Amino acid sequence: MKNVIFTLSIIILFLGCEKPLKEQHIPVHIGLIEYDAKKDTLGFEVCHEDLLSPYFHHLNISYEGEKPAMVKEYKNRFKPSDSLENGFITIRFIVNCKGKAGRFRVIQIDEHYNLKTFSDETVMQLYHITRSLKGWDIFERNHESYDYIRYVTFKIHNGEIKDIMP
Amino acid sequence: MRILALLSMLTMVFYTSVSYSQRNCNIYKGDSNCYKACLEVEKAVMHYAGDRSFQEHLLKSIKLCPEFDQAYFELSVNYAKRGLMHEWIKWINKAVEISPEDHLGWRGWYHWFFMNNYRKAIADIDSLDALLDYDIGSTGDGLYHLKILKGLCYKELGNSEKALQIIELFMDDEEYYQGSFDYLHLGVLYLETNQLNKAIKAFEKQNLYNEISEAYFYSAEVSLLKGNEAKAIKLLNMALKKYNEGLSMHDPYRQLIDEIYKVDIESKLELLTGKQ
Repeated sequence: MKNVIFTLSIIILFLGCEKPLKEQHIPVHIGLIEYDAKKDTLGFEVCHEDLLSPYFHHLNISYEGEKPAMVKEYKNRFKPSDSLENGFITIRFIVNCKGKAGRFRVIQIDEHYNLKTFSDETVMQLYHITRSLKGWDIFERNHESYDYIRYVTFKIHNGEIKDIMP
Repeated sequence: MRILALLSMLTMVFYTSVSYSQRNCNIYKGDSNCYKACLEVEKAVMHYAGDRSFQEHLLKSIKLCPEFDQAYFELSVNYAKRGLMHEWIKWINKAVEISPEDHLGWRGWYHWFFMNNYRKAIADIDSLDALLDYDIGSTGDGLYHLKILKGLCYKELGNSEKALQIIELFMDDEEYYQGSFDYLHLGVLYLETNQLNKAIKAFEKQNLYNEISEAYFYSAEVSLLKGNEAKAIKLLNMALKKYNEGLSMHDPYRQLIDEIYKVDIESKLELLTGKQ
């Protein structure tokens, strides 16, 4: 009898290990930028954490002076590295309902989109310039302002910024 | 009010997020798992794109029928739109592997659309062309025929001659139908290769079909090259007027090739009028 109970317990234990899809790690939303105490500084708050959607970056939300004003900041301030590196660096972040940016996340990939590491010199320059940008438009709908997620992708060729997207 | 605003946003997002024409699941009825997988994709796209339920239905679809390409595809699109291209590539590659004829064109378009990765875009369009014995079709947003896009990729790689050759050849094809900005691009290519009269004709044709600020802006460039500054100023003012009316190239996701901004027109006008 003891053996039967033991066997049944093992079976139940193993059945319990096979989690249904809902219990597997599936993010609340693809691309959501959640608060991370190790990465995020104090002083930046999202206005509606519950309504934060990674989708809003494309809904005609722009930058003061449009893209040329943003590109000018990078062109004037970025110093190409000597490392002759290639690939793409994407910086994702949240613009909150007051137009302030925070929760910056950096993704570095090669021309085939495999993760890679660029030189600190390149990454940190782009990171700091992006952090310092102030012209993000506020996303408003029906007299209410919302947070949105935005990204900027840099195409790097031989250590220089070849393109800024989108 | 806040809930209404949210609903309005979600509705807008929903309608812009369904990325792919739905398949008729009945064609999979012979394979009950793939039929169920197809129904899971149908359920997925009823959700807010990218949310947990959306992902769950797609992952379930893949589990039911690992060869059901549409589930991989739908996931891929949502990573790309969020700037997560290292994830996008895994999902889209799987979709292409299963059904290249359905997804090569889309992958090629996204290589250009999100990353300006012209060589990869050209490679995918060429692979699709080699695979099909019928029209390779347009970009997912319908903006360009893939052959026009291929030409534009060559232009961005610095080969305007080849771009022109590809685009002219395709425009001569009896199956060609005019895209929203085709003649604008053609005109700019003529401008870049110093065929000024052809450029002007192309811009005029562009405006007859779809009047945009850019066509006036580049016409002004032609006038300047012909030494007619007064006409250039007139055309630039027209470009500004059209821009302010909202008649210009625009895509919510990216800057289009040959797209200009208000500051481009204004600074050129300032340069010319200041000079006078």
